[in-house]
Amino acid sequence: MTRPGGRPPAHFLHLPGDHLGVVCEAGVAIVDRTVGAPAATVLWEVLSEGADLGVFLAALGAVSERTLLDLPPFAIALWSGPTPERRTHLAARGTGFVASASGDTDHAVAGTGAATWTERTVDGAQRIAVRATPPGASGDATPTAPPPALPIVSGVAPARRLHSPGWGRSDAGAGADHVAGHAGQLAGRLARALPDAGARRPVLRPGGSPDRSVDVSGTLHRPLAPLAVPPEEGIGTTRLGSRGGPVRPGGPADGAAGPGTLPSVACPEGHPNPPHRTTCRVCGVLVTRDVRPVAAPVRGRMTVSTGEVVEIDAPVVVGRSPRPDLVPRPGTVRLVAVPEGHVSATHVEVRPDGWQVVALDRRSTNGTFLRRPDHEPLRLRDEPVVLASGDVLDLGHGAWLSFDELA
Amino acid sequence: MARHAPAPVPFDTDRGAASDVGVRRRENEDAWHADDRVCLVADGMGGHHDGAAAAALVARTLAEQPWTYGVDAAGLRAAVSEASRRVAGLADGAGAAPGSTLTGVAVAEQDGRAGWLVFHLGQSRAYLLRDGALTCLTTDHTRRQELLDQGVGVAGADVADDGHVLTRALGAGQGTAEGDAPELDVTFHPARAGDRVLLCTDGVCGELTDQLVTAVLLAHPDPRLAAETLVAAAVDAGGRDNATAVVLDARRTGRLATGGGR
Repeated sequence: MTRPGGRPPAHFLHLPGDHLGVVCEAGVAIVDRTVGAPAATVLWEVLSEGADLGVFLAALGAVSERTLLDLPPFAIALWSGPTPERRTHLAARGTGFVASASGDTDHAVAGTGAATWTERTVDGAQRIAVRATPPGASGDATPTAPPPALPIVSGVAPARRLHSPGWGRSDAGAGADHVAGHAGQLAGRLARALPDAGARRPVLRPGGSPDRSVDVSGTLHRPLAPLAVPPEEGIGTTRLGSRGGPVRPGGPADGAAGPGTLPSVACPEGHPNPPHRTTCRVCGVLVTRDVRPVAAPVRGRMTVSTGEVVEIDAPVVVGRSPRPDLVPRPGTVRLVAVPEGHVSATHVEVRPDGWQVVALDRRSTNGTFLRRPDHEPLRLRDEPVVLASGDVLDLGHGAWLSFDELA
Repeated sequence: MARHAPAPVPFDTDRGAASDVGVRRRENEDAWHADDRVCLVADGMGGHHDGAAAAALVARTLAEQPWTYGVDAAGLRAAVSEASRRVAGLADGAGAAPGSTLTGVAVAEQDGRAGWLVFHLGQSRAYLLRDGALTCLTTDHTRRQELLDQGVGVAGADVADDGHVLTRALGAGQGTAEGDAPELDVTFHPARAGDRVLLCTDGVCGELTDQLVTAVLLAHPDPRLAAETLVAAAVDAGGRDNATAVVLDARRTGRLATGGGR
């Protein structure tokens, strides 16, 4: 399975050799020895600055003084975000060879056979290997003990192969295993000598994203990670029922509000809003301070990639051919069809929860990813996550649901 | 009643095209057309009912125009209005109205100069390869491009839209039976002998770097082989969408041989 929002490997292992390995946070490459160390250093700088594959190719041509039809052999893997499953661009030319592996899918891109070079985009790659020569090539033979594979986080090193830690045992070679195993022993010794060494480790946070952000409408976006569990209390929220159970809007805590109603304030146009808002979520003008119960107000609007627009005032089940629940729940459930082959029959559910709108994946095959500006994508589980205006639920390959006018 | 003989084609081209369903879609909703005067690609809108029929109808409508006085912007807009009406007629009320994009190039003459008249609606692209350099002649009509135009950085625009949300297209509820077609971008580019123009759907340009597109176009002198190689590379690169390419070359003989500077 893919690792949603998974981060690139923290380091690579390189097998020393004649060619030039380039490693940085955004990718790993190996270029032919004829490129030379100074040019490889420039490529490392370019990649470290966040170059995409196109820029790398242009830079490779420039530093090696070759045209696009005459580039030196290379192999590269570059990852880019923010996309639901970390997207990795692979390319290889000549004897260059690059392979990626995720839990159940392997990709290999060989440069041989193309007059130019070969590109491929893969999703969810977890391990990567770049090689100056394809596996089994004569230049790859290891007549004597293979050299040890050494770790590299970022930089340029003479290499014939670079791979992620955990790359296949046979592929990585005995030397790599030996070094990795020995390094593990040393790390154990270190941990015993410095018991708090682990505690001093910096805690990695997704892309330096802010914990809180305020959008132009003044809505406070809570940090994404804590939202993975259903919030027990929220501003202006009244909750009933348990996790996963049917959620009915409103409830006794509303005080004045009766069953199925929510305390509301309204703008002059009459759009109902949650009591904590000062401006209307639909038209942006000031709302009155009179709090009145409103029966099952529309909590927001969902736009489907098919063009359909759904007002969220009841649970919505989205899928290729969604079916009603086997056990009927109170009230209406709206079924929205997204007729794409990769979408599961019942894929994702969106429902009002008090004034909020929550979404949960209905154990879909290919997953549902919440994309929110300035946050890493989050793969939904079958636990409700609170949505905000501007959120997009990505069902893959151009199928999506976007949300606005949320309370 | 005597028909006017169509105006002569301003200069000669060699053409090739290729199309592939890709590896993820069940149906090829792309259409293309290439004759000595007008070449185009049309991308039926994914998720819409009968996108393939819409794309085919748009291609056929443009291909059927008599172009009695040659191709010009007004004639193209009239043809697109007609295509829009015909696509709107496909809607049967059962699902979302079908739609299509349209990107093409006509061999045309403007103010006495022979050139490429590029017409465009959607997120397919037209490129010009000249002196070994590739230039994109069109602007994507996507929300992503709109955000980029507003100064939102690439990262922000990618978060908001990865290029799938169109701001202009034929049909899909945008055109009406009254011929209220969406605005067609039309631009004129004087031609030179040896120019190569590529029309491709986003299944090609979205999968490959501009550098690989350039290299493939440079590596294959035969336009058909160039188109086939590009489409094969796009499918190999992931093939997430239908992939279609039309390649046309301005011949080095005839009018452009003397009129064009190189």
